[in-house]
Amino acid sequence: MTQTLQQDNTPLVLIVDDYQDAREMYAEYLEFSGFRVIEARNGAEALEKAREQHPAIILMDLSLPVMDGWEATRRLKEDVSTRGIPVVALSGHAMDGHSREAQDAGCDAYVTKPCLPDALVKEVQRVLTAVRRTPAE
Amino acid sequence: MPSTAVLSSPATPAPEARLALAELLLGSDEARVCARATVDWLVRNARVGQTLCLAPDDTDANHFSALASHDVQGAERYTLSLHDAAHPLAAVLHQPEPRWLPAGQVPPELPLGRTGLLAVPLGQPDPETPAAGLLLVAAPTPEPIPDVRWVARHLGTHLARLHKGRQLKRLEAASTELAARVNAATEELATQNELLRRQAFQLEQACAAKSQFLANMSHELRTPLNAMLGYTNMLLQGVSGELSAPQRRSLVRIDSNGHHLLQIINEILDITRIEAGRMPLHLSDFRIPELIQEVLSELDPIIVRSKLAVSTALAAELPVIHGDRQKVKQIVVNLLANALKFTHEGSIQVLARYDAADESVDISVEDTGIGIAPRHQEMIFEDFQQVDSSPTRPYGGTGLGLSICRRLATMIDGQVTLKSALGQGSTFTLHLPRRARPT
Repeated sequence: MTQTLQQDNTPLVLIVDDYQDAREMYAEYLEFSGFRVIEARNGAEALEKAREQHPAIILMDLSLPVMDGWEATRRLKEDVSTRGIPVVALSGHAMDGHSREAQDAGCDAYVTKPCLPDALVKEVQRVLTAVRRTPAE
Repeated sequence: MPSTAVLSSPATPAPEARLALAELLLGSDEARVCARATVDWLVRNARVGQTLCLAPDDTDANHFSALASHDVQGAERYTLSLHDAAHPLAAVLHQPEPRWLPAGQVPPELPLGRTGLLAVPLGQPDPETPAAGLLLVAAPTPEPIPDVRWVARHLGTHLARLHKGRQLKRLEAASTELAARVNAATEELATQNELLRRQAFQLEQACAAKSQFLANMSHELRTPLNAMLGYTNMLLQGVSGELSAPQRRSLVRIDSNGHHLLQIINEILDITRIEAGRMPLHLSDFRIPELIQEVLSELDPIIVRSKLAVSTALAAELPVIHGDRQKVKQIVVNLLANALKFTHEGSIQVLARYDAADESVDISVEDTGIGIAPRHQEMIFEDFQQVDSSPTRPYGGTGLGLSICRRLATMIDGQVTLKSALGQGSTFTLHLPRRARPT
């Protein structure tokens, strides 16, 4: 039911999550809401895809195999070519400490799962609007 | 040898015999043996008749029993009680001199013949130190019997020394036993302390493990729940096409039950975080009216469904609050959600007022619901407790909501109080200081 034309000027979202059902669910809803979506299953894949395809925004789960979300975000923010991409941390772990660590790693926003698809899309739109208003230095 | 020849001369038999007795006494540690030897010596050397040597029991100084005797019937069974200070023999115990009692004054209980009696204190008594015993010798006249005084003094000194020795031994034994008991008790105490310390450590670890387990569990539970709620939400939004009315109704039910399950998991997680001290304070300035507005819009779907009249009554001059906004909001959401759950008709009012005197704010939720009986009013603030926790209870929920509210309120220096009567509605009030103390 993807009715929106996927033109090159629609924002590209990279969704990083090792849990397939959640990843595909958010991808499906993002496409339904008019975004182009690429997926990654861990931090290493996320780095690779971010460097290759330069998405407009990255939704990053934090607890990931191979390379976790904090490390991936740190590396993205160290790399000049990917530094400007906003990263929204997605965490299912509600114990305290995660949000501050995510912030320390360089995440631009933080969302706690469970998060309904429409709430996540709203957050994506909010962050993208904020970035457009204050262009990267 | 000349000196020996002098001592053993038949004209002066006493000094030699005295020496022999003195040596005999020194050689014995038994009071009874000493007394026996003394009495025998007297009979042989001083030619006395009936003789009775009495000494106090080790346990009772006023209770005399026979140590040795001569020619006295039933002497070994005889005991003399001196508890009566007026007893004729009681006085002798504190006198250095012997006393002669004529036949008529001899205490009738003494198993002696009915002649006069010479009572001789053993040792060197004085008003503070009584005699070590008594030597009673039958004597028809008050004339002194040679050697009796010397013998009595000598035996007395010896008996007193033996008595002191026995006391010392007993004292030493008691002291040793006491030391052993103290050691045993100290050891026991140390063992118990160590045990307690280990148990405390194990409890601490078990508690930490429990918190970690619950945190992990809640994560594991919420991951699939996230997908379930997400897909349901997408279907309801028509992402996969239009829905028929029955499909929509089923999905709405999946959605509301999923949210209920999520709330239960979240509440358990909250308790865990509070218990583990992992719910830090985030202090900021905020306004009450905005906060209450947010609470109302968050619960709007439930308010609309309830058909109750929900209103607010906020005081005109509410100050800016410095505190943990998120926690205040969580408490008010919880109180209002409870009011909506337990009120079937009537109204709910959210009130806020400021007390300038003690710089505190009261946020109250007043309902016309089922009310709470006095005996349940404290219980409902405890973990997992509801007025009716039975399997057939009419109201669902975890029974954790108010427990969380109370804990959160404590964290922000506030408190949650309740006024209610069965069938007459309830008023829950969050009382909090205008400025929370930073921790």
